[in-house]
Amino acid sequence: MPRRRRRSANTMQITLPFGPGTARRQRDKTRRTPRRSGDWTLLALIVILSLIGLVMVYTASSILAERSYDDSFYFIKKQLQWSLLGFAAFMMVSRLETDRLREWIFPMTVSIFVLMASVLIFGAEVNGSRRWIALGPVSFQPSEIAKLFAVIYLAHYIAKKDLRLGRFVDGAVPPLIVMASLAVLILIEPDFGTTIVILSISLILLFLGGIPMTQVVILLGFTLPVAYYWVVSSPYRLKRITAFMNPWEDRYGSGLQMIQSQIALGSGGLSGTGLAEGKQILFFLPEPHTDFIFAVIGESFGLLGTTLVLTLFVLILWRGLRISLMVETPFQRMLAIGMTLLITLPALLNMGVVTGLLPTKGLPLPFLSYGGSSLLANSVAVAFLYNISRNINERKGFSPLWEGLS
Amino acid sequence: MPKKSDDQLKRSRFYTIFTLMMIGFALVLTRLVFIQGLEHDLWVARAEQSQEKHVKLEAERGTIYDRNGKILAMNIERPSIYAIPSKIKNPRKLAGQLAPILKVQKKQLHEKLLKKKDFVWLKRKVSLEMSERIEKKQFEGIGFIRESKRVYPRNSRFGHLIGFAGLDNKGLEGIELRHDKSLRGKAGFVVMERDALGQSVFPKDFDYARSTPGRALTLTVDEVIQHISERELDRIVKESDALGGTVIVMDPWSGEILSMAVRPEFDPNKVSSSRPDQWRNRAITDFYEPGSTFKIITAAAAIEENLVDPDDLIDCENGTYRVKGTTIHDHDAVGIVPFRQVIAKSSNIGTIKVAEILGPDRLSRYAESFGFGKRLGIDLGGELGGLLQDRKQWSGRSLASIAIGQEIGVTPLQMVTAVSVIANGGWLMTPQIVKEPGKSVKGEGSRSKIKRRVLSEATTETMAEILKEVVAEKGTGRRAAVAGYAVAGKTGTAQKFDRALGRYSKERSVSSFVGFVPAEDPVVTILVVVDEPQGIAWGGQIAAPVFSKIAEEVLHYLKVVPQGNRPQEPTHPQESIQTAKRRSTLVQIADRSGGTSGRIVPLIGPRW
Repeated sequence: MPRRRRRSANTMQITLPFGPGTARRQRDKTRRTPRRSGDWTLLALIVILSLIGLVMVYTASSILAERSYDDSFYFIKKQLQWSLLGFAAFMMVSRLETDRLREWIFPMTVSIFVLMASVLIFGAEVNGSRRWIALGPVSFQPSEIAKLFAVIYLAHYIAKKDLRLGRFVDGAVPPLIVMASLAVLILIEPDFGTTIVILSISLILLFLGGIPMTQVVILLGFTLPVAYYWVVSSPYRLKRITAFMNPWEDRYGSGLQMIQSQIALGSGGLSGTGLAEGKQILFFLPEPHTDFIFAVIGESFGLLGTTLVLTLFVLILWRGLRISLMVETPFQRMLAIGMTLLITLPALLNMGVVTGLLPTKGLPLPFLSYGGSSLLANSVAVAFLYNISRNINERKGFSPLWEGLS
Repeated sequence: MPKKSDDQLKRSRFYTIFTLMMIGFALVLTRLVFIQGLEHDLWVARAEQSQEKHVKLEAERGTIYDRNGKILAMNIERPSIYAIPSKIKNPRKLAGQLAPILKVQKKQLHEKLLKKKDFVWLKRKVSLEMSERIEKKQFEGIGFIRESKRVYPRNSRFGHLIGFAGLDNKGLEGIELRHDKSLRGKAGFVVMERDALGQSVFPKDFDYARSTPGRALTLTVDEVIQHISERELDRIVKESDALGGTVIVMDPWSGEILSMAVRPEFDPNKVSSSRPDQWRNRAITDFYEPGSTFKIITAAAAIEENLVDPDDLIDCENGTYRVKGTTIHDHDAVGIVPFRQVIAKSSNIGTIKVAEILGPDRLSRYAESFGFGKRLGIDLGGELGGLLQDRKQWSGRSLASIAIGQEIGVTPLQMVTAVSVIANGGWLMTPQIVKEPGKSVKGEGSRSKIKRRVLSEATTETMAEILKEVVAEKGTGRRAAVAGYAVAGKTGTAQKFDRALGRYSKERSVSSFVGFVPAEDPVVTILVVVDEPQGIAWGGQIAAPVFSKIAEEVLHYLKVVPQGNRPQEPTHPQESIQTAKRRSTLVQIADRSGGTSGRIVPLIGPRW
């Protein structure tokens, strides 16, 4: 039990700001792993976000559900079921001893590749892409699991190898090859959004892992042109940040969806049309409850609502960064920042798409968009964060970063 | 060891990523402030423009059938004329040319053509010849779309029941409104495209497929029985110069409505030329004082409670009786007669005396149990629950008034359903109007049609015997008799309460007859209500003959074998397997509950 040993070696002041009595403290001390409270602020943020998500999924999906399934509660019922599943997953993962995951890295790597390959072979084809694997009555997207795996794998690798030593072929290259192969499998599905997220997080984690600046420059040299092409390819896209553009000029390009989502946001104004009052979104966005739910929020609750959601994600980013900087072991640190990015980066990209800053690429908004696999994966990500946050010694403040590389 | 500086470096990398992310969020926020704050008005305008680009194409409404598959509401294709204003070079001239053909005002048309829109309807669902006349001239910027228009091939027949759907395919009244969701289907859209010149055009092969047609609906009504009901109702309304009237024919066993005729008449094909109050389905939306027909409920309650026997003698005081400071009169003064004659002669005094034994609590309870005072829950919009005051609100005179059907408001539907309780052996049914409901109405099929048991079977048999005497030679309802079949029923004549005078009016009354036939094994319950017949208004003279005529024709139509040459097992035409099954369970339940014929009174058979 390395964790416990280290803690007792470092400090004896175990602070339990939430525990009411000494009896509990005594009991806790006898356990293998001391039970501590984690980051409740983070959990509160997630709960608020999830509740907003449930309300908005119902609002956005009820008409479609009514038309397609004769039951306006069709989607919300499923989402609630997945929420329960997500909660169960949270309870399990938040009790997990994260360090033991590292012993299973190899079998995990093998099985994730088998899974990603099998989805391409056996997966159900929906709208021209194979993203889903059906397990009896439920179907899920393995690419969501792949995201979690990517973070665990990279955290493990970075904690194992000291990337600061500057070896390239024996340093940053192997994990990049693993991640790139994974990304290619996901790209074939195709699931462009998840590919982008996995690749970006890989690069960010390697960067945080301490690769020398020369390598940073080399990697940026590869990726920046791609990113530039992707984001800034159309000349007007940059201008969109500040200038009003005629969306109809681009109506055959990025498609109707993006125009409609901006119309929905725009007609929401400052305070919105009110819940379930938005007309634009319900009629003109094909599936308003999934990737474009941010537009529904914008139409219903205006700038107030969108700012609130955006703020929630910023706060999650802050809590995640804080946990990551305060935790003591490199593995857990990288795991924490990786999981934080797994939630906040798609959120940022999704909002970028909805506001017309980025081209549409099919990324759900974590905890808000309808979709079971995504909700489950995000719950697991939060569970990891919470789990790690329990190992933080609040009194100690930020811990030195590179102690105890294993 | 360069640990310290390294640590600083790597920490700064964390902050770098955080900062980059924050810049991203800041960009999104800036964009949001622009779209939602500064550009709000522009986007609202865009929204409107975007909606204009979508031309909604309504789906074809579901057909409505009667129980035998005859079409009651259907669709025909009609051309609708639209304009694309940007393509019109000389709107004034075109308006001048089109106005006489379209039969609209030139000024209005001109305004439409000047609109800064990509698409405007000029006139929808016009006649074929009108569209052909315009098509021939090949105006630039004028186009045609075929839309489906709702037509009601039976015209005014079923008018109140079916209601109608408006120009935009939306159900506005009756069944059309009630089942609008499943009937309407799912509308489709056509997105206008721009041609090389930047002008809006319809896509070449536009997508009708995106609209899903509505579901068909089968009603319980029978077109032939409806025809008979309406014809006879028309006749009496005309003959008696009445304001209107209602006829309902119900299958007492299943609660299915076989016909529902309402006058004044209403033709859903000619909505524009009718007044809104004509659209109302008065059979469920209006209530009236039932008068003597309500004595059925009083009598049934007293018998069920074992308080009176049909042969018990009752002093009817020779036609004048004071109760609670009011003098009650009988139309036909009688002395001391058995209870069965009290009902047959429709003696108010006798009935009130029985009601006094029954007491207000029990009368109130039975009236509610029979379904009065509350909506029955028929699958139609606008049903009223009638007027039955809560027992606590009753005055000293309420018992006497309600016992003879005053101080209570009932809808025709409530009356026919209540009397069906007597006909079917004691069960209050939920009236049925939809035979095969659309899939969207959840749990409709599983919902039990039985509301509750109201009377024991023995009571209903006794009541049937008593009600047969009403139609016997000396009864008030003798004109309701049908050759070959025993009729059980009750007349009713209720003077209308004149609010201006503050008392019951002498001239204005509601004349009604309600009953079932054949009395021993009823096939139909029929209610005839005539509103304000002129001259003689007695239910026995106005409504009873209508009942007789309708009953006779309906029984013949349903091929019910007349009494003389009746086989042992009576036939139930039109009966679904389900009904038959339920009937057998009804009988079983009744048998178990101990319904015997121990109290059946010797029959005074009507002489035909």
